[in-house]
Amino acid sequence: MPGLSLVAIPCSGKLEAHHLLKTLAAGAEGVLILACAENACQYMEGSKRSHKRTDYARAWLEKLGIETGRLRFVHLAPMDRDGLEAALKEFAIKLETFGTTPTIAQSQAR
Amino acid sequence: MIVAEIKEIAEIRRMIDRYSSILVVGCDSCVAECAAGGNRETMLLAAALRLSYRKDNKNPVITESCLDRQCVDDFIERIAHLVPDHEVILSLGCGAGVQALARVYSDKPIIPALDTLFIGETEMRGIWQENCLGCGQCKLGYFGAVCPVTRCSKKLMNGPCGGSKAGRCEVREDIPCGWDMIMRRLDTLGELDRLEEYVPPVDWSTSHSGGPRRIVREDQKP
Amino acid sequence: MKTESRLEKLLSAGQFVVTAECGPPRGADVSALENKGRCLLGYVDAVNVTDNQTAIVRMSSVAACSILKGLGHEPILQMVTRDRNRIALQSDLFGAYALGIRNVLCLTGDHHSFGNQKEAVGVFDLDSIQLVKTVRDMREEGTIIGGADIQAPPKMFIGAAANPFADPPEWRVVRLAKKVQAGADFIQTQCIFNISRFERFMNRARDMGLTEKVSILAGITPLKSAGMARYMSAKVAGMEVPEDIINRISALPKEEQADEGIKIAVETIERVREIEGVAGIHIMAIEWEEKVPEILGAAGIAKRPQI
Repeated sequence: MPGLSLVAIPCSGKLEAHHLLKTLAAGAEGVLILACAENACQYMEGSKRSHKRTDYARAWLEKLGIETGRLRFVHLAPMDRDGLEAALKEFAIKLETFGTTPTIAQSQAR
Repeated sequence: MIVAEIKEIAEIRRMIDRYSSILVVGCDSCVAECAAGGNRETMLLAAALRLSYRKDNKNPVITESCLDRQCVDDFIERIAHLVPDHEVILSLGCGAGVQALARVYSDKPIIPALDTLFIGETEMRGIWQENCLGCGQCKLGYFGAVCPVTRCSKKLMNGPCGGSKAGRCEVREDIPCGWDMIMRRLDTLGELDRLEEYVPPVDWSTSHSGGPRRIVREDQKP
Repeated sequence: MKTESRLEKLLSAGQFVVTAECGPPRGADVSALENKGRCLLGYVDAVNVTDNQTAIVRMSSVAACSILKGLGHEPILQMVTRDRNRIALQSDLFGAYALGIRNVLCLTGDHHSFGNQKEAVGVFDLDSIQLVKTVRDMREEGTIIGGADIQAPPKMFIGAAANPFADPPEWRVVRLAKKVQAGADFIQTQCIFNISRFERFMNRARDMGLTEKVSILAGITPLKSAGMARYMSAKVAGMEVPEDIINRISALPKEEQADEGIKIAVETIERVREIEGVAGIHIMAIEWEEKVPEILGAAGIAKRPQI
């Protein structure tokens, strides 16, 4: 899929709010967080925590006047290929409705 | 430790909008502990500012850095190489850090990104409670280690007011009555007798009321 | 006699006293104050003038006391420690005494977050017990805090508040004892609806020998409506309005609720009079001062001794 960057992390619980904002600030139009179901988290609390942190990041977007829908959180079983494809397609369509955020100068993207 | 909260982005923007290059500096001590101004929060704020400026089609230079501690000279000097290239320092330190930066980088405007609130404890992850306001004459030993100056909304020294209801303060339901806490503690310790004695008016001269405080220790000087 | 207070004189003579509350206006409206004062003249032995009650800005208590004294009242100056530090409090005591005021009620005051100046700093330099002791030391030692001598020391008759309905219950009488020890001469209680709880409080106070040392006046507030009863029960700090009282007044149509409220007040007065150690009543008919003569009349205590 064009324009798609995949970042693999051991658990969605490794994710924090600043990762999400940094990613958007670096030029991404949106971030789709794929987490295991809450009761299926290998590390117990991981997907619960990442959900709360995504909410916190969204609150920041709201204050910044940026579409909170640019951050989407989806529970997905690890082997669910069809589910993954559907989630990606849906998100891409949604992002198109927001329009593109202009890219920022390379020196800023850290 | 010192507990602070991040300011609204709108207020921060208002204060720094006149500058075209911003050095964002965090502090990895107290404000990192309360998730307001540490390394992660510095990265988050810098990203938020980039997004915010992008929306307004502005493009100031934004550089991030984080100090171990913003209130101590030795640590403050570590960003000396970055300061000259920026018009302003946006500090995620507490009020002490902001002012220390201003003393060291005296020709640079320093803007606070946080509202410093209180001295307190981490009760658990995510919950910070005020428990000391630096009166300068610690009486905790007489009150079961619960501070009547800080935990009581009216700084009462001789027992609860008539507004104490079911262990809650009249000001807000989520504030426990400080005196209820003191009495329960002393009861547990078997020391309720400490409360029978009259406590005379507090000497506030050692608190900020007596003027800003300063300590000089000759034995500690280099 | 410790003081020139008319209230002290009556209590010493064993009279069952009646005091009432008078709230100054939210401004410099002298006639509004005088009208309230006139309603109560002759029906009460002394009148409490509140001090920025619920942290709402009103005419200063010292000024209002002076105006009511001019009408012929025996004022009780209420002083809260919320708004003034020890310098201002002691200064106001000098000034009040100079204007002929002989009674003072020492309180901490409702927190300023309740009022119309929420952004103000809360002073709380002293608490109510420290204020009681300060007034006592002025009278007995002739000194201010710190020991300096006073030029013509005020000799005030000292009052404090007691709340038998706040928490923790075991502590309420201990706190009363502390106030008596600090120098309180008379006590006004929070308004009573739960008479049995008040009785238990009085029993404990008697057991501790406090009723010998201090005159306790039972607080009475007439309910205007079921709405008021529910509001007081839920929203007012340290207030207890039992379910059966709320039900009793709610059972009636709106137009009859005020009269029932007065009936309840009269019954409460009659019952507390019978409790040993109760030296009088303190009526708080806030913004309903005109009903006080009627209530006292119905309770048979409208005629005040003239001394």
